[in-house]
This record gives sequence, C-alpha cells and structure tokens, in this order.
Amino acid sequence: MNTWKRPLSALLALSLALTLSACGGQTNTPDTSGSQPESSVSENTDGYYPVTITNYNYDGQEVSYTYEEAPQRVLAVYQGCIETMIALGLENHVIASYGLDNEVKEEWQEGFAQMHYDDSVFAPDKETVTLLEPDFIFSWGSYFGDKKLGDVDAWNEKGVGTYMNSNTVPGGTRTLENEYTDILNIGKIFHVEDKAQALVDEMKAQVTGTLSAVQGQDPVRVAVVEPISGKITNYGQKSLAGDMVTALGGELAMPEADSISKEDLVAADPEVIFVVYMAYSGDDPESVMAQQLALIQDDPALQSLQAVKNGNVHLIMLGDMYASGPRTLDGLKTLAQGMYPELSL
Amino acid sequence: MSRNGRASLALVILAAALVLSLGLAVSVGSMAIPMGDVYRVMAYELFGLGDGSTWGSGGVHDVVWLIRLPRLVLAAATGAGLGVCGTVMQAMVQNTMADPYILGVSSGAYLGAALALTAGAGTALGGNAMGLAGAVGAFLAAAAVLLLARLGGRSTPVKLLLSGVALSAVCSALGNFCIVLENDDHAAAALVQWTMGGMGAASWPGNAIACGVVISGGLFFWSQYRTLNLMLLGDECAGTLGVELSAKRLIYLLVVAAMVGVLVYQAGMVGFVGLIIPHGVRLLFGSDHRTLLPLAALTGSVFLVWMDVLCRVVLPGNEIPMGILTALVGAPVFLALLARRRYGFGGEV
Repeated sequence: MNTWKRPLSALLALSLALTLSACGGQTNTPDTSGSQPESSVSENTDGYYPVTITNYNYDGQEVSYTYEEAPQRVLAVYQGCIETMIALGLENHVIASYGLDNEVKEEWQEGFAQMHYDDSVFAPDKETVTLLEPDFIFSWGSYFGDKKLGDVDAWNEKGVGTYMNSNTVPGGTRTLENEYTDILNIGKIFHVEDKAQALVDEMKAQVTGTLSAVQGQDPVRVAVVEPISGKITNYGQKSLAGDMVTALGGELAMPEADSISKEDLVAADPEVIFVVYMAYSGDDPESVMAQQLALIQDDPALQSLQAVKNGNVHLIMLGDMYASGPRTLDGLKTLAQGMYPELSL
Repeated sequence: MSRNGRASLALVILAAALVLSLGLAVSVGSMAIPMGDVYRVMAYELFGLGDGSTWGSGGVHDVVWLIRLPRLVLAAATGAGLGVCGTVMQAMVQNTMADPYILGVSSGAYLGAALALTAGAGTALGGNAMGLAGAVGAFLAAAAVLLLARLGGRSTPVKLLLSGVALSAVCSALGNFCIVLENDDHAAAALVQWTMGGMGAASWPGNAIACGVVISGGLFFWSQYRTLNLMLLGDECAGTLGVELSAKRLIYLLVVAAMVGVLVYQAGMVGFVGLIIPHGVRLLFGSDHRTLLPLAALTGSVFLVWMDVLCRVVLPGNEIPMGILTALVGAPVFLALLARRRYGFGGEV
C-alpha cells in the first residue's frame, strides 16, 4: 500500500502546481475580447475589412463579430456548411471539414476534393478542433452545444469567428429568408458578395418564376411528411419546408401539426404530398426512396387520399429542405415541380 | 362477497368494458365522422350488413376500418400483453419494481432500434426497421440475461435481476454510442420518438400476429398460475413442495421475451403499463395468479385503448407518443390506489 501512496502524492502535488500555473497564465493573457472594434459594416478607403456580421450563440441570442480579414483557416461541419463553402468557391479557405449525410452534389465534387474532408468521425471533438487552430467555425446550432464544441462566445473571445446556420439556431425561426441571409452573410465575411448574391438570386428567381407562372390559380394544399417506423412527422409552418411551400404559393394542409396519425392525414386530405427521405450512410438511396414512398403511396389505409389517387405523392430529400444551404434551390425546384406538374420548371 | 366471487364479477365487467371501450373509442378521432356512419362501416365489415359500395370502401371506411380500429385492437393487445408479462416478471424475480422490460428487454430493443437507424441496417428491413430490429434486440437481450444468470450455477431471482440490470446498462450504452457515432440530431429525435411508443403502425396483418402471440402467451401463463403463486413464496419454499423453479423461469422468460418482442415491433415501447397494472390489480383483488392474470390483461387492454384515444385528441391534429400519457395518467391513479390501501405485494394483504 505504501508504495502507492508516494507516487500518488507526487501526482497530486504536480497537478496542483499545474493548476496554479494555469491560473497564473490566464491572468497574464491579454483580454482579446475587447480588441474587436464594435463597428457595423464599414468599408475603409484602403479596403473592404473590417466587416461585422451578426449571427447567434447557442442560447439563440444575436451575437456580432468583426472580421479583420477573410478567415483563412475554416472548419466546416455538416452538409449545408460544406456545400455553401464550395458553392461560393471558398474551398481553399477550408482546413478541415466533417459531417456529410449525403454525397456532395456532382457539380461540387471538384471543389470538395480540396475541402480536406475527414470521414473518420462524423464531427470532431473540442480538443481536435482546438488543435486545428481554426479562425472560423461554420456549422449547425447543435454543434455549439455545451456537450460538443461549447458556446460561441468563448470561441469568439479566443478570436475564432463562428457562424451557425440560422435555421438551426436553438429556439429560432425556420425560414427561406434565413437561408438567403446565411449565404449572403458568408459572402460578406469572405468578400465574395457577388457570388453569394448570384446564388440567392437564382433561388429567388425560382420562387418568383413559379409564382408568376401560377398566378390566379387557387393555392395548392400541400403536406410535407416523413413516416418513420409507425410515426409520421409533419413539416408545418414553423419548418423551412413549410415556409418554402408557402413561398411557392402553396397552402399547408396541416400548418400546426408536428407529429400526426394516418387519420390526421386522411382528414386533411392534401392535394399534393411530399414524402421526406433521408439516406443515412450505408443505406442504399434508391431503396430508401422506394420504401419511404411506399409507406404513403401503398398503405391500404391511405388509398382514399386524393394525392394518392391522382399520383401526386412525391419524394423530397431531407437535405434539400432542412438547413439546406445552397441545396435550397433543389428543394424549391422539387417542391415547385410536385406542386405544379403542368409547369415545365 | 368472497374474494373469488368479486374477482369473477370484475372479470365479467372488465370484459364487457373492453368490448364497450372498443366500440366507443372507434368513434373518436380527428376526422369528423358521424357516429352512425362509423357503426355502418363496422356493421358492414363485421357482419356483412348494409351496402358494400358505400360502407366497404372510401375515406370513411378507411379511417374507421383500416386506421382507427386496428390501432385500438393493437392497443388492447399491447395492454393485455404488458399486463400479463408485468405480472409474470414481478412474480419471477420476486421484485415489486419489475416490469416486462426490466430484464434487459427494453435496452435490447433500444440497441436494436439504434442499430437499425444508424448502422445502415435499416434498408434491408423495410418500413418499420426500428420496430423489427427492436424486437430482435429485445429477444436476444432476454436470452443473454438467461445465459448470464445461469453461469456458475442455478439462476436465482437475484442473479436474474442483477444480470438484467447489468446487461441493460451495456445495451443502452451501446445504443447511445451508435447515436453519438452517427451524431445526427435527426436520427436521435426519431429514436426518442420511437422509444415512447405508439399505435400508429397498426395494421390487420400485424394485429393478427400480435393478438395471436398475446393470447397464446396469456393462456400459457394462466395455465401456470400455481407455479407463479409458488414463485412469490421463493425457491426454498417451492423446493420443499417439490417444485424446481429455475427451469420454469427459463421457459417463462423466453415466452415473455417473445411476447414483448412482438409488441415492441408493433407498438414501440409503452412504458409504465406493465409496472402499474399488475400492482393495481393486486391491490384490489389479491395476488392469486388464477384471477390476477386475466384481470391484469383486461385492465391493461381497457387502459391502453383509452390512452390511444387520448394520444390523438389531447392536441387536435397532433399525435402524442403513448408512453407520455401512460405515465402521466397512470401514475396518479396508481398513487391514489396505493394511498388508500395496505399493500404487501405477495401473500395476503
């Protein structure tokens, strides 16, 4: 027993010493949080920066951060964030990326090759991120939770800029406008506003084009649903998918509902139903799609639905209508095509 | 009235209540269907009465016959199954805290569902992947608990219980590990929803299996009521009466696992019912398994039929997971019962 005690006490003494020195070190570090100028978007004569962008912290409160230059060491986590960086041609700013649910779209494959994608884990832990020494973290809200990376404020104080997809802010709203704002904000941070504006304009053109083509028509009654093992999730007016449907001139058949029964679906009897599918890694997308569609299309209990009878049950990929980033355009296209099959969009 | 007479009367009343509940509950739902139409559909489907072209197809028919009634029948089967399994488990491990899920069954189901969701095992299994994998997980976990409890000698209630608790911890840890690996909010949310149970997946072919398993399992245990009564007295006491309980426990646990597995597949995990229904019935009618088992089955049935109705009407147009309501409604009722009586679990009260 005694042989144990001595190393143990030595260890205790050592850890105590380390703790104390760590405390000492902290007081010596200059306070970096005050060094960020609190100006709004200002364009100096000699250049574009500094630029201040307002985003959110994990509590859902607005937080402003000032960029003195375009971040050069970006960590991008999750599908939409990775694809936003590629779509804006910013892949050479990225030092590491993680967390794809689906393959990156064909047109972004070339850029993706330069994204330093790491598939060993779905998302890196705090220690890995700290060692990566990023100057910008671009991810979803949940990733800044206290059990994951920790809060935005702490990173910002360390001089690391953060941006969370506005449609993933805890307790926040979920709108199409948020997706536009995010792309434009990333454009501002990296000084590629024109590219960002072009992406957003394309999305807006899809919306206005659809709206003008169906002008005067009665709104289509739409439901976006996701059947999972006996339960059906409904994407209502508080969801991005719901907001996209409304923006395209549709009316949500079940605006208030979150989790519905088959009977609720029959009672609402939407004209068009979109079935959400999500092919997790390892799943074969084709069979996932066929299965999800069959859960609505082929259920004997749902054969009286007009959408089923008229062949108006369509698939939509989760990634195209949930914190979708540049895929928002695909989501809008899929929705518009399903809602207005007579249009060649 | 004697205790036996009281119990028989309660049996008749509960059986009638079940039929009546099914009949009444089928008229409740989010879609406004006139009462008369509901029963015309039922009359047509059950007895061939009325006009088939009006009542044999279409929206009203589908809602009543293909959505509402299958859910209610599944709820009844689930309630009966969990009531019986809970009663048996409590006797088997001589522990008041036991429920159908306690011996690793629920965490086994959780692990199976998590694997189906995250490891890509889902595609091959069809639409209700979580249910199927959950059922398999439940069964395997129960089998593993049995094996563990028999290592190094006869299985005793204490060994069974502790093996179950340990295996539960391992299975839930592994299930959570899958979720952490996948690190996907969407998957995690779907799993949480699933673990709270619900009757949304009900269909007639599925119900045929669920009812078949619950009824045959229930009858089997009813035929074993003497052994179950002995189990409450303990192994030593049973031994002096010439009954070896450890072999019986093995068979019982496998039957319980099969029943719970099938129910997990159909309805997910409906918590609390299997714990409180047996206690509630014991409080009122004593612990003789000859009456306890059928009473627990019927009480569980009636309870879940009405819980399914509540699931659908509490938030109009929304469905609440059943596990939330069974606990919220069941616990106060149970506590009220507990407060009013002396309760000794085994033996006479």
